[in-house]
Amino acid sequence: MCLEFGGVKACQDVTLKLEPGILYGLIGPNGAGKSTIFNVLTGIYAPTHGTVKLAGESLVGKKPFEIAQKGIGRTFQNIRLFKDLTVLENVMTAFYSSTHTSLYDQVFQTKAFYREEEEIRVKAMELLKVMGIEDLADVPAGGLPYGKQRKLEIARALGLEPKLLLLDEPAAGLNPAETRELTNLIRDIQRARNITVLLIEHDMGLVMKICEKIYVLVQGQLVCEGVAEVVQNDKRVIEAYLGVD
Amino acid sequence: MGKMNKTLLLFLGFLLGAVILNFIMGGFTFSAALLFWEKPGRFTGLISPYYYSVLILLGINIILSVSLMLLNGLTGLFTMGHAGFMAIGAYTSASVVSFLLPDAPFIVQLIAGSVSAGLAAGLIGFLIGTSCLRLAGDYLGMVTLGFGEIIRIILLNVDAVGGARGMTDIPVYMNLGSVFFLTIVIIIVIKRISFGRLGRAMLAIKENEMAANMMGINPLNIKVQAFVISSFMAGIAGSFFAHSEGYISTQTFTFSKSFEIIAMNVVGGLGSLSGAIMGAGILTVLPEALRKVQDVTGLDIRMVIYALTMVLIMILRPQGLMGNKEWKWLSSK
Amino acid sequence: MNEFIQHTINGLALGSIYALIALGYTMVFGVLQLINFAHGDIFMVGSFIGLYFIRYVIPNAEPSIFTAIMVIVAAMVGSAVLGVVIEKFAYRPLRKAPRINILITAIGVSLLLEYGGQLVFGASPQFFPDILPRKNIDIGADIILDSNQLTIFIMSFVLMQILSFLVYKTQFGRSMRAISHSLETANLIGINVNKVILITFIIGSALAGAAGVLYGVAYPKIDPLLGLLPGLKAFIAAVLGGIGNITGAVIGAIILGLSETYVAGYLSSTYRDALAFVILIVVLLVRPGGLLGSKKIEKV
Repeated sequence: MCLEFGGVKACQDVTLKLEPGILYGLIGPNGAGKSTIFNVLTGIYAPTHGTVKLAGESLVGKKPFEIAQKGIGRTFQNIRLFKDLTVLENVMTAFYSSTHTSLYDQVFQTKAFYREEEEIRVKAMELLKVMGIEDLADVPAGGLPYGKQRKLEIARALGLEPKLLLLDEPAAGLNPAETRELTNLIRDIQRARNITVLLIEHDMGLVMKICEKIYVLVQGQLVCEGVAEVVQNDKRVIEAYLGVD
Repeated sequence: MGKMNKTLLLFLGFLLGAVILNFIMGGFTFSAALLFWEKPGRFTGLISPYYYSVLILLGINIILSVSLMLLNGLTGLFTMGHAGFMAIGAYTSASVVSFLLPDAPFIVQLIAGSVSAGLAAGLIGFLIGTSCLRLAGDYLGMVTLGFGEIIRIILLNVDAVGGARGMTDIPVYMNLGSVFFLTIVIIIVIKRISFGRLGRAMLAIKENEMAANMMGINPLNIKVQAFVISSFMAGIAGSFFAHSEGYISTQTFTFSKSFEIIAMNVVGGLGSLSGAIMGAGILTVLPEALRKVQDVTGLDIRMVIYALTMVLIMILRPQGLMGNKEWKWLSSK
Repeated sequence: MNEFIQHTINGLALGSIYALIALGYTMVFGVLQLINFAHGDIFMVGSFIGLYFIRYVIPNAEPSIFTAIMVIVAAMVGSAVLGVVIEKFAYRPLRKAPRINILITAIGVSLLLEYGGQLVFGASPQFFPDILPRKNIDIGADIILDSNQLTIFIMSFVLMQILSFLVYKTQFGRSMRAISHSLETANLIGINVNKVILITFIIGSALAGAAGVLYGVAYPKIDPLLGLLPGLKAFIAAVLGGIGNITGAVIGAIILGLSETYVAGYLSSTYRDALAFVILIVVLLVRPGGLLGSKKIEKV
């Protein structure tokens, strides 16, 4: 898998090449343009020049939902759950595009309908179990405590069975214990499913612990890329973070 | 497969119930005439013709209310032109039946009228839906209001259907049984939709369109479906209206009518199917109950009550009477 | 050519009335992001206040400029009071509620005014008496400017100048524009938001009231459902110019008034009402920000 693009408002000349099955980190001071990169990858913004390719196929110009269907899943920095749906239903929405029962089946509640609903339900439940929130399955998502909402976001994104998972500050607002748990969880999920993960985070502990390779973005420019030790000792990176984290 | 579809059985059961209802409420002569393919005969039912017509009106309003709920409460599309779809349904059905099948048996008229009404309204719903997909919130409301008015003005100027004087001599075949049956069917259809994957997708879009996009849901596709289904049903309600009154004019289908339907949703609770039904019930029965007062005082306070109810509910209980909840029999699959 | 000029004069008169109403819509939308559906009905009430003022307070007054001004002021005051009542009791409690709630309340208030008006004023149309001496000024070549139209032009112009002064040269105006940009920020810098919004309603309603009297002067038959169509059209004018933009409201109103008159004069009067809705749809589909408005982007 390989992605590269350049020239979108906040970013300039960024080139990311993501190999399949690796856990990447994307760090940088606030306003560097990290979320913008996610928005370009998911089709919300179009790059002014450059390309975005997934397994050799160009994604530029495709609508966000098409890109999601191709296998890019994403969580949001400011949580975007479907508040009035239950926890389970939130995850079930991810299966919409991979299911096929027609309106007729839904209205007449045919065998096909029941079968498919059961399938989705089981798969969604499994994802909830993986994230450890299966006991909250029938609770409206809006009523969840913050930490569990973040987990639900991830479970939902996993429902897409994505090839690439984009996590936008998954640990923001979590206490150290929750962060530790989440860190291990992310790593386990990534290994078990062998998906590519690109993770934006400010919590350096998390990033350094699990990211196999890290990109550093400062004011729209990639100033460094490499494994944890390299990045930690890079002069430009230290400069950029002086007094921040 | 030897086992017949449960839903089909359910529908047949209701059909039987509808026929029985007709006999009880309309009297033997009336219903027998309908059944044996003749025009409705003399009315000798259990209830007076006045209450009979109020019940039919109730059914029509319920259909209008729940169809709007699909669009507004389920998919989050705030529209103010629902009366326009009703108008198209009414005029289409009236035209088809009056001009093409004036002497056909009632069942044929009923089916032809309703289907043509639904298709016509659904088609317009499709066109309007696809043209305003990018709009949201207030803007969508305004555009749909505009479309509703344009539909009305166009109909107003078509002399073939009566123009400003309205269309008269429309065959009247509407009976409580048909209304009952179709109202129940539509309620069940909407309930089933809301519990299936389409309903989940609609709610997702209403809650957070951006996130729905991220889940691989095509918002435009879902919104258009919502428009088409909703307008189709409103069209059917319109045809029922035409064939129970015998006379229609564009005066009935102004944006005030659209507001009345919105009021039904609001009073009952915007996101709730039961609420939509309840709201329709209250806002149909209340004005009729107040007719007594009107007869005595000579003042038409029905609409004032309507409006006051809307305002008070918004201020005192904005989530409506049912809030987000549903009645028992509507809340599970 | 003469016909064209006559139509233009008529169109400008109509547009001026629309403008006075449209300003109220646009100002309230600017500060509250609310389409005040009841605004058109405040216009109607202003008209009736004028009528009842003439009938019961000064029944023996001779038509004159002085009379006219008295009537207009009375209507403006009455409408302003109504606007305050509505804002305070129907809209303010919903300041923090979801948008759709307050929108529906606005619809409810509108219906309340219309049907309440039918109860109080009677549903049948009433005749608006002359408040100015009727004089037709012949500008030559068969073009007639009647004194009523002249009144409309002058009054509208005066009122709009006053408004312009208020909006651009006073503290209030600055506060109002600040709130239009961001309610929260305005709160944070110490602007008394409630007071400013209240004054916005007062001004908008007063203008609508004045428009009501001017309408009665131009089209002497008034009834409680008067506010429906002109109100809607004035709203469309505001959208055309760019909802929230004061200059836009005036421009949109003039354009609408003119085009409506031309369509009725040259094409057919049955479709004149349709024109406004066609304009609405075209604007919203092609350029929702209107002629002078801007586009907004959603932040992710």
